[in-house]
Amino acid sequence: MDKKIAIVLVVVVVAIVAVAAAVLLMNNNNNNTDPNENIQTQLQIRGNVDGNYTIDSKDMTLFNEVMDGKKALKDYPLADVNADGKVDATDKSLLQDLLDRKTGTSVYVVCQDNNGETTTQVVKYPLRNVVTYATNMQLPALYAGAADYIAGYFSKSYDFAEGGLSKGVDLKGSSRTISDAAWSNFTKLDADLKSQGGVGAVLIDYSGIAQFTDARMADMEAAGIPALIYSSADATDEITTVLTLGFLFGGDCEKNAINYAKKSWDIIDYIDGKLKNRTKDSYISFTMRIYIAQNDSTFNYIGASAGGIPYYKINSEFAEKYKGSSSVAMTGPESLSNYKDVNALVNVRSMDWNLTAADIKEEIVGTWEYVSSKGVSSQECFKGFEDKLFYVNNLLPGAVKVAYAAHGLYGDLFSMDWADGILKDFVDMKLNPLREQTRDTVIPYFDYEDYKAAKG
Amino acid sequence: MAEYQTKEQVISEYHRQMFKKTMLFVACVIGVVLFVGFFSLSVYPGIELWQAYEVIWGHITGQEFEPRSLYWWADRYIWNSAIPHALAAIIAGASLAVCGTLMQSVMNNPLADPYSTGISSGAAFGAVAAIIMGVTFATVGGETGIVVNAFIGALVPAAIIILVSNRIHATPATLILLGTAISYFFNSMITYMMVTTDADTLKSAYMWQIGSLDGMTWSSIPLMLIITVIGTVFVLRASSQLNIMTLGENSATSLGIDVQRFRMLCLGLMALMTAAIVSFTGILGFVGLVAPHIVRLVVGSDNKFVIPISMAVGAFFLLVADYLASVIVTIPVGVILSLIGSPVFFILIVVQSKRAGAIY
Repeated sequence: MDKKIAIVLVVVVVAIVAVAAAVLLMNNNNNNTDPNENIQTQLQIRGNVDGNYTIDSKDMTLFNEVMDGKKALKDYPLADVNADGKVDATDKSLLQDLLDRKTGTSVYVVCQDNNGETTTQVVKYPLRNVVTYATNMQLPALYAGAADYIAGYFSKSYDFAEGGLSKGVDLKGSSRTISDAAWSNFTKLDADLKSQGGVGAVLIDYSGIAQFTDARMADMEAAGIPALIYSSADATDEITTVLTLGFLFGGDCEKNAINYAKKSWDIIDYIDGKLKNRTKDSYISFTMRIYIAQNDSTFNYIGASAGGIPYYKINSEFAEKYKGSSSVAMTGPESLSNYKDVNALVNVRSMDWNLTAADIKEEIVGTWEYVSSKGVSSQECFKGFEDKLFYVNNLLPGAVKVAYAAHGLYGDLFSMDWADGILKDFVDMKLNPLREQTRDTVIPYFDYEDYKAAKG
Repeated sequence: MAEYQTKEQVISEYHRQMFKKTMLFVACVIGVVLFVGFFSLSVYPGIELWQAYEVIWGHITGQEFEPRSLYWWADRYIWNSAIPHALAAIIAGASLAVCGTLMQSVMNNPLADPYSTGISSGAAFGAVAAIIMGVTFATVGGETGIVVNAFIGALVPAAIIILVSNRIHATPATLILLGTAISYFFNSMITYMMVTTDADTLKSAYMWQIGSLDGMTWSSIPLMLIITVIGTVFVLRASSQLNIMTLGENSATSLGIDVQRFRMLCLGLMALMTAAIVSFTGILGFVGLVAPHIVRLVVGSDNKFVIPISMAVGAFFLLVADYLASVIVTIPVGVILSLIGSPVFFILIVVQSKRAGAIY
């Protein structure tokens, strides 16, 4: 009898332990859920429950359904407004403040961390006194109309296009490095702005993340300065970056940014629609005149957004050779000699505007005939590919770049006049970087014919 | 030696000598404080020199700066970067100067320095083995593995010499010759490892051997400081015996010192102190050689004064060299030490020889 009781007791204890362990494990799983997983949204702000371009009453309706359990949080991850892994009254209160665009509200912004993973940063609404790093982030901020809210910048490479930065303090970095002295200037600026809450955020293009060392990230964390990091060199990510920054700066910036984003998506949708039944062309992307963009480089995305097929997807040897997210300098004609079947060469180049006719000719000829300090000639590298090569100005709004790339790839479907019309539409939006520019003062695109004409 | 006619003259000369000693010590301390300020400005140039001192003093006295104010940012940079860097230079300079004084007195040899017994070669062997072969005494690799290896490697030559000395009659010359033999052995092993590795690893190993204070953090300070303080206390307490040792082995024995035992004790202590420094910094030459000579030139040979003033001179010398190396020209401090140290040492030898007819 005693033996039977002992067996029963053992079985009961084992069962209780097993159930308890299962409960604990399940709870652990819940706690381990990363609130930054599965986020796909246009406006990168928590509270934008439906993932569209703005936060409005529809988001509150959806939020209530998630809170009531009618819809799953995993399908609407941005319903977790404060990124604490659960949806509750605190989230609701925050969302209401976002709907009211209430000053001082903590806004939970979805962005990248310094490893490129999705994360959430908190900024105060409306965002003010930002510091920017790298042209690919500075232009989206200026396109969002935030010139007045940029307190400082580490470097400025294009006098006219980035002229809007001049209201901020030059922190004396360079386009490639942030020196210790420049970082010291940044901390001094934060101290100078202390009465206004200090630097509101640092806006960083992910391609320049190497300058934000662990020590510098630790500085920002200790000071409570959020780092908003985006891969804004990508033409499509640039659109969501403008949209998100516009929301954060608030007021007219938000309206400008929504217009900008809607117009941009319309263009991309139009291109997609026209190419639905069309055989797609392959392309190789280039940057810095003679550098081949590696497979995962953001410079590859412009051609893809314009309906092209990146060459690495159809040529395994090329794919193997150009693995990575950076770029590789060509050494001569042999760099492209094995890839003669590619349909187009998309060369992405940043060219400032506000140019005269003579400036434009000089820029086109100079770019086409460029010879590097190591003696590598652009003309030699692209020999035999002249009719496939075209340049797109990287400083243009993302959708404009995509439009010109679409013209370069599918000239029969997308005329130059159509692309020029899109550029004009963006100029007419009164965007700061494009202020009072015309097709005659900007080089948005050029190809071999333009080179021959410029050369005379 | 000058002859004094009256008691007043003797007192006056005594005061003059004391003044010289005090002035040299105070000048070095002021120099150290000044360069700590310069270091602070180098890591946080957004403030004035007086503000740097205000920040340092505020931190020491527990003042809390308002977050994100200028002083908060300056404190963050100065305290996390400039102070550990400068402190490492001060401790290393002082410690190597004490070791140099100790070696020169115990060995009764003006050319003896902390590395005369093969300590530098042992440390370099340990570090290079960690860098090139990945062989470490520590369970962890990387920086910690290199430090532990260098520390143990530095102690090996001293241990060998002490063990051998117990079985033979070891004169100071014998000890230095043993050290030289051990150095040659370790150097051959280092050369073998360096010629068999790739260029990047070779550069890392070579840079370690040159000696540098770059990248010093607070984690490097405690071991350096504790061993330096303990060693210095012992050396200061033994300064009378060290004075006697300079009279020669027979005189020291007749005055009641167990010369052999005392010498081994000093050797062991000096090895420990040097190991605690070079394992973090790499080989820093000339400090232990030059600092005691400068001090003896000015204040004479009494170790009661030579030891503390050498510490101040060594600390100042290394701090200035490190400032020049890391802020002005951006090269490893070992290069600057050699550049400054060798001509200074040359001049010292000439001046001392002209003055006394001998260099010690």
